[in-house]
Parts: sequence; C-alpha cells; structure tokens
Amino acid sequence: MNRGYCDKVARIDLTRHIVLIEPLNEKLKERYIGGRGFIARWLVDEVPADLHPFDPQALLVIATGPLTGTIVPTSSRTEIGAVAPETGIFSIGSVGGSFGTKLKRAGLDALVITGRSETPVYILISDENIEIKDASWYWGKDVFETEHAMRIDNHESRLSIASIAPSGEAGVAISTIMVDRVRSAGRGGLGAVMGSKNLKAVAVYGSGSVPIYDPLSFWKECQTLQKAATKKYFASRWKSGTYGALTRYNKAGALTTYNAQKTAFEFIDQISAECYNENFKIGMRACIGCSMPCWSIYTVQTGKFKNLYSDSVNASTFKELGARCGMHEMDAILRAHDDLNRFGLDTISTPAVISFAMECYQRGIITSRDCDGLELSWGNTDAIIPLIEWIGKNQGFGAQLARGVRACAKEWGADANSYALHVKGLETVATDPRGQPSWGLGYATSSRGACHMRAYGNFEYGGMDDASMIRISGTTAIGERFGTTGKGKAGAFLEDMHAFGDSLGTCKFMTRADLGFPEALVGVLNTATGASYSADSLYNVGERISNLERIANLQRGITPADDTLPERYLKEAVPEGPAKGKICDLEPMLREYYQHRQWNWEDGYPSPDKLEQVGLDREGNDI
Amino acid sequence: MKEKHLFYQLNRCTGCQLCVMACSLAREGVCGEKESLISILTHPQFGTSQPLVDQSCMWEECDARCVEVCSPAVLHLVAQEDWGRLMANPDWNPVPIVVGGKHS
Repeated sequence: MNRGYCDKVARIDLTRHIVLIEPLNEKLKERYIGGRGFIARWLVDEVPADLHPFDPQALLVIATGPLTGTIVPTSSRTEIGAVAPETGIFSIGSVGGSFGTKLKRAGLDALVITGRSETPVYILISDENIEIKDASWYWGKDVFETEHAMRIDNHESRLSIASIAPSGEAGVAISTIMVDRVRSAGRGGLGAVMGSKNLKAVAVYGSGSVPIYDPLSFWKECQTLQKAATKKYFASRWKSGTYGALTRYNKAGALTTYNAQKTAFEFIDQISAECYNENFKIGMRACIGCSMPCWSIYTVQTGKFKNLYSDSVNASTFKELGARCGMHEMDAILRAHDDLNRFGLDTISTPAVISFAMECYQRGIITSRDCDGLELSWGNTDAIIPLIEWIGKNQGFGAQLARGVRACAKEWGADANSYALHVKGLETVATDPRGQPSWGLGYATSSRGACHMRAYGNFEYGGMDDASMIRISGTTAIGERFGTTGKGKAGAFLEDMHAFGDSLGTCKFMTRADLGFPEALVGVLNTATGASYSADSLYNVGERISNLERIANLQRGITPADDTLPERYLKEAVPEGPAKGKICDLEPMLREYYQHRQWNWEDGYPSPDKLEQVGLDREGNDI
Repeated sequence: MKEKHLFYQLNRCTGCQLCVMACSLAREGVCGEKESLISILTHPQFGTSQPLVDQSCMWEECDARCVEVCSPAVLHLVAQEDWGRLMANPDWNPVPIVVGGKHS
C-alpha cells in the first residue's frame, strides 16, 4: 500500500541519457524512512570511499520523505546529498520551498543522478514524463535568469526549479544548489557536483497528490501538532522570521564579529530585526505546507541600492554579512545577500571566507596586491560586493576564495591557519561557541563538518522547558549557558532527532524541541503511511542514520582528532563584551557525547553493542 | 443551512497551501491540488498568493477545515451578519468563485 510515499525512484544516468523508474524498497523505507536516511544509505552503498566527488560515477541524490507535500507543519522539505568537494565527506542538506511537494505530486519520491553528460543538460519532470533536455542556452546564466527563462521556454509558470549558477558550473567549492530562486541546499560545494555532471537544473511540476493512509486520524494528528506549533512559533516568526534571533546572539556574546575577534557587534542596532522591519520588509511568506512563515520579501527604496526587490532574509543574512564581515549598512547587506543567491553561493561559507581574508589582510598576511587591488578592510561594501561576484564567477582573487577557508589557509601559511574557522573543511556559521558552548560541540560532531543545523540546540537560551531538557539529557543543567554537564548527551539526542526529521520531510524548526520528539511525530507518520512505528523505533532510525554517517566519515579518513574546533574557539578568550574571558570548553562535552554514543575515543567507531542496537555492521552494512 | 461565504485578507496569504491540502484531504483522502476546491494562485516571482474557490464550495457540505488550518487567519467563513463589516473594510475580500473549473 503506497501511502505517504509515491513508491517510485527515478534513476537518471546523464552519461547515457537514460531514465529508469524503480520501486522503493520496502526494507529501505522501514529502516531509513526517506530523505536524509535514503541518501545516506545510497551514498554508502553506491559511492566507493576513494571516489572523487566529481567522478561521473558519483551520486547526486534528491529525496523527499513520506510527509513531504502533506499538511504536517513544515513538511515542504527536500534533502539533497552527495560527497562534498570542499570536505571530502557526505553533505546532505535540507531545503524548503515547493520542490519536494511538486516532485511528489509528479509521482516521485527521489531522484538518483549519476554520470556526466557530454553537453549541458537539465532534467524536466512533468508528471510521469521525465526528459533530459539541452541546457546549452542556460549555461552561464545566473540562478534568477535561469529560472525565468526555463519557465518561459517550457510554458509552465508553476515549475519548481533546482539550479546552479556559473559558480557550480566552474566547480566553486562553496557553491550550492538553489531551489525556487532563493533557497539553497548543499553546503560543501554540491553546486559544483551538479556542475561536474553538466547538469544545470532539475525542473518539476506535478499535478497529482500525496495519498494518506488514514485521512481522518491524520488530520487530527496534524491539527494537534499544528496548533501547538502555531502557538509556540507563529507570532515571533510573523514579526521577525528567524532574523529576530540576531539580537539575542549579540546579547549573549555569541555573535561572530570580525571573524571572531569579538563576539558582539557595535553596530547591532543597524542590522537588527527592528531596523529591517521598519525600513525594508514588505511581508512574510511560507514554504508549502508550513504554518510558521519564516521568510520575508523586502525592498530597498532609497540610496545606492534603490529599487532592489528580493526575498528570503534569515538570521544568517545579518550574522554573516553583517557582524562577521563588519558590514553595517543594511541596504548593502541586502544587496550582497541577493547576490549570494543569484550567484548560487553558500550564504555562510562565502561571508566566512571573505571575513577570513579580511583578517589576513588586517594582519598583513595578504595585501591589496594579492586581492587584485581591493581594500579588504572590515565592512568595506565596495570590496565585499564585487568580491561576491568574482567568487561567483570564479575570477581573479575570487577564484582563490572560491576554494573555501581551509584551502586558502593552507596556501597562505601557518599564521593564516590560526584564523581559519572551519571544522572538517566546512566553515562555521557566525554563532560563536564561546558564548553558546553547545553549538561548539555541534560544530565538532556534525557529520558534514561545522554545520550548526545537525544538533541545533536551543536550551542554552531558554528555548526548552525543564521537562524537555530532562527528556533529552536527564538534567536541567544544560540550561546553564556556560556549563558543560549534560550537553554531550543533549547534542547526540538532538542530532538523532534531526536525522529522523530530515528523513520524514519536516523542517529543523519542528525537530529542535518538544514538537519534534519521536512521540510527537510518530502519530503523523503512522497515520500518513500505515506503518506502525513506535516512538522508540522512530528514534532508532535517527540513531541509525547518525551512526551510518559516522561510519561513512571514518571510511573517508575522518578520525576523532577531526571532531574538534578551530583553535581560536578553544584557546583564545573573548576579549570583551558579554562573553568576556570565555573559551569553548569542548572536551568535557565531547567526552560525554562519545560516551553516550558509545563511540570509541581512540578510533571513533561505534561499539559492537551500539552497532547491534542500530542494526549496522562496522562497514556500515545493514544487518 | 445558513448562508456563509469564504472571505480572505488581502496581502496576508503566505502561499502555504495548507487550505488546499486540508480540503483535498477531507474530500478525497489525499494532499493535493486537483482534489481540492480551493486553489492558491502564487506568483512565481513575487510569492504573492491569493485563494480562489470552485463554485461547488457553495453547496458541498464540509467542516471548513481550510479555515481551521490557516495559521495567519487569512481565510474566514462568514455569515450574513458580518458581510457588511468586511465588505466595507478594504483589507477583506470575498474569495473569488471559479465557474467551469475542475469540479463544476
């Protein structure tokens, strides 16, 4: 009985231009649910550990979950995964918008893309028709131009499009895959993986629907969840999206400022939610299936960037381009943010590499001669905006930065390495773990490098009630911001919750607190699909995925020594502000995390007992 | 049956399609557009959205799940005593009715 699922996967070989439809394996559904779980399983099974990310044989997978495209709150999500060129390990990212819903309405759960076309192509999916079409005309176009042209050429305004910009075409290590113009997935350079396949875009429209096993019970389960979610999040999201959090980071001394030389920004008022709401915001929008609108449309009506209109501002917009790079003119930040989307660049890694270069410039490690004449002083709009374009086009000094922080640090020498903020090659987000320590643990243990969304805890700033804190860690001590007790266990629990949430098709906002507990979500899963998961077995799926990704990392050369943080966070005390004198005390949290996970401190592998519990062997095979 | 009509608040619809899917779920047990009496027209560039309903919404009996599921409270099912108040308010409009559409 195919309920929740479409029970179809399209296998697309771009070398031979062949599309095969295969049924979804029942065992795979039961053990990995969908989305991220499917992708992790397929990547382990089908991509040899020593295969270069750009090898034609490499996989690029787009997968939905059984709840994608339904009325479960936040159920718009699509996962996109591959081995990332920037890090050499898996990167499985989540994106909202309408792509996953439309893919399922076209009757497909997932696309597994292999091979390399000789000439540029795109994949057009329109209900049961899947075509591999010539994309020569789109090659070289930016994301916005590509989407518009593709809708016109296909006479279909409702297409949802996942595309790359020239950054992905050129192999830029910090390029992403852009969905519905302004949403992105694929940190670590998945745009470049798509480009290596000569694949410009995947465009989809489906007119079908997602069947539900028990419609009435499902409706009731969804309404319980939605009412709770709306009560908890709607008002704050409607007012200030996710960018409302910015001031809180600043007050906590957790806002990466000037590449983490400080952790509070003196121009915070100029980049605050209040400033944006008053001067630029037009209104809030939501992804399909989401009752908590978190992205907004905006316009700039005066000054140098007059007539700019765009959308999808989030906390990172102001954290990364603002505090991290020192920009404090909001109109310029919005211009730069729009350019990051247009050029298909990672909105965290790109500002991160620019701010890293700025600190190297400040310290004389590089000079304006190295930067093609740019004056890389903090907040210099006249340097940052052109530099984003150069990175996007892989030109001049931009081509250097396009390789990411780790590669630049290697080239610029030992001094530069002290200011390189990445874990396993992926740049950290601009939340400073010296002011918010559990995020430091999350960066260290995240399966794709310094991703803040793998653990994404909110307990250090009052986001979680006592009962929930006890549920995830056994103690309310995790609510003490600068403490370490319980945070290892909490981090592991949240990583597992997000792992099953990313497999269901829900957003991280659901699985970061009580609304995402397995007992809260198991009802919608079972009534949608007809499966009979218990809360424990649902949690076990999350744990299985976390351990599988762990094994995959170990197979690709990651060791426990890589589960660490940049030296600055560990050794350099914050010089001033609310977190003055603090470092990130990682080791006690990390030891507790390893202990709770039953991972060996020396070689990093899960214990035999843990492997048995999650149903894997040491090589990552299902048992 | 008391005469009621759907109204919506201009510029407040987020385009989430929850109303669309709540209707299709109630009518056909699926989440989708085809089986729903409501359509949301979303502009591909601007993300502006507005609802339309098939005329059979006027006579099919239901429990108005579209209204219940709408978190920004864009949609309201309105009885006669409130028509005048809403029609006089430029922020509100009756949801346009499509004739000859998919369910007519």
